[in-house]
Amino acid sequence: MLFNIAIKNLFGAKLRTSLNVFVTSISFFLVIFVSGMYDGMREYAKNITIETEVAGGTYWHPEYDPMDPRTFENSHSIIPNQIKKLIDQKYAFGVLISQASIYPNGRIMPVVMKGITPDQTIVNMPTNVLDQHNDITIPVLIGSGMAKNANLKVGDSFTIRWLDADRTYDADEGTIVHIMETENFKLDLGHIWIPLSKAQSMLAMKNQATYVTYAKDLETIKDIEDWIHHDVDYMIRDMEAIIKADEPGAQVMYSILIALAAMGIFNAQVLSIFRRGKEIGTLMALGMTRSRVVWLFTFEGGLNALLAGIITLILFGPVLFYFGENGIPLPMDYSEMGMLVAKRLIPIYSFSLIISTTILISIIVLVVSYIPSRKITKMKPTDALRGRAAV
Amino acid sequence: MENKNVINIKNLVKQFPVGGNYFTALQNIDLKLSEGEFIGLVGPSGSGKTTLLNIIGGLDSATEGSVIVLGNSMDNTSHNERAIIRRKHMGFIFQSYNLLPVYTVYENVELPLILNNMKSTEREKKVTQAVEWVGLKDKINSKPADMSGGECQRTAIARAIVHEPALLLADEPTANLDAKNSHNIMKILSKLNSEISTSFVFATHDEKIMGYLRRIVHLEDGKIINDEKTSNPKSA
Ligand SMILES: Nc1ncnc2c1ncn2[C@@H]1O[C@H](COP(=O)(O)OP(=O)(O)OP(=O)(O)O)[C@@H](O)[C@H]1O
Ligand SMILES: [Mg+2]
Repeated sequence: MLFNIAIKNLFGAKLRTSLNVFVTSISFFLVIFVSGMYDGMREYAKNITIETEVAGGTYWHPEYDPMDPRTFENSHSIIPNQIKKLIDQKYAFGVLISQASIYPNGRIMPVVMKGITPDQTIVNMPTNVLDQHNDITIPVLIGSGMAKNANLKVGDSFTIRWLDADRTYDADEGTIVHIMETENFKLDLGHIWIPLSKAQSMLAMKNQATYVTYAKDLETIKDIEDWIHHDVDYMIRDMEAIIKADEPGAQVMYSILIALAAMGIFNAQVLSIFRRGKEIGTLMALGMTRSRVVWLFTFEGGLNALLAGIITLILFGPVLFYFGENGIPLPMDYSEMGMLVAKRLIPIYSFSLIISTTILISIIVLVVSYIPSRKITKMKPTDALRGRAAV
Repeated sequence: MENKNVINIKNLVKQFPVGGNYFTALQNIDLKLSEGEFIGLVGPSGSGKTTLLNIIGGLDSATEGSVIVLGNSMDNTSHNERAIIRRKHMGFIFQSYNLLPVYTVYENVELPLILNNMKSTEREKKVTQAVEWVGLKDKINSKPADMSGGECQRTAIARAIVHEPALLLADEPTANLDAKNSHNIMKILSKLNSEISTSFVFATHDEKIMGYLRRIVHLEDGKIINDEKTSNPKSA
């Protein structure tokens, strides 16, 4: 019975219903959108690292420790057979690391020199540019941050000095063939990238590598000799830790958003219910009990929330989807601060975000429908009939 | 006709708290009403007509005295019990119609039957009949906003009588209507009164209504100053 009346009330009062539903669904949308953006921001560093660095995971030489450059000298060997097969199938690429010095404009700069397979497409780096310059002794790819620090531009040449496998110093001329814009400063600052084969011959480490990165969605190989497998989770563990540490902040922000949404919905619901004082009085005069009136209005609120959910999906779903796919361009460039901050923000709407927001908004709508209608039925029917609002 | 007491009020006093004080809206009211009566509470504005009607309908309660309506002592009933009495045995007509604006005529009239959990097939029969009674068959799917005041009040009448209540309470049912519509409404109501056993109580100061009433209770300053049967009431 209540169901029929509630449906009639909702679809009879088209303007009122659409206003309420619209307010609710806007709140719904905003909470999801802003939280999604925030989550996206937090996830961004992680995603950039995966896209530009980690891909599906890596196999490391057992000595390799990226945090300790002293290990670079010894952390290389012939690539284990099974991993080599992956590389041949273009499902992976090798990187050979060594310490080096460059002498741009008469200055000396210690750098990490990385040889990388130029035709790889597994991580998002323009390594193919290293393949297009047969006339250059050592083609060098650097990031824009590095270019700025060293005051280098495309076409500039400088001496590179390195320690080869026989522990003797060698030097040759490198030329910048490309300066890449990367959002991952770990590929940029203090790094020079050269073709892997070149690095192998310079260092006299034929067929050797320090680590091998493989494509996403690939099964891990068991037989990797003494090399060590690190999956994505391991590679991004420090970023996960940062995100974890930021969790309370995210929760505060979510709470503020929900509170704002609650106020908006409360306003709309309270207004619409208090405006219906006379209707409530009439229902009571016709013999509807107080509890049934409360139920009716709460139920209408619930249907409101349901409609709002559907409207959000139809109206704002495409918007959410669009930004989820294409991201939101950010006007500022923070990379100089040495932070992994997005130039383009991709919001992330997690399943749990959507579910918890839906539940919370529904509860809010129910509560803000319940409270004012309960208050109004506490007034005398005679007052309600006169359309007097209880305050 | 057996003279059952529909209303039996003794020594009714109603006071409203006003500021730190009390305002006495009704005092020493004694009133009996038998089945099938057609009576008007008449008096100037502020004399307590609406207040008395509300107390009879259980929308408000007495400060002192006993109020027995349809065999129920209204002082000893809960809100819920009074709501149930209203939806089963009473009908209300208001000055400003109080139709639900989003409902059609049919839906407005149907509402009391829904509240009484009547089956939909039975509801349809009753609603159609009630709407025919008040002559609104061709407006059955209209909404209040698209109808005249007279049509709205006729809808309200249909809604008040659709469940054939024992008691119908009408507070200034013609105050918002012109002469023609007022007479029309009163004719409908007195015809209903002669066809069904419903008792009618009006609150009014509308002279046009007086002629239809079979008994007039005069109120002034919250007191009954005169209670008389009319000699030759108009009828339908
Ligand atoms: N809730 C209330 N609080 C305080 N005073 C009230 C309240 N309701 C009614 N009164 C007072 O009681 C008196 C009687 O009011 P009531 O509405 O019954 O008069 P009435 O005869 O219906 O008048 P009208 O013809 O103008 O409708 C009035 O003086 C009114 O101000
Ligand atoms: Mg009145």
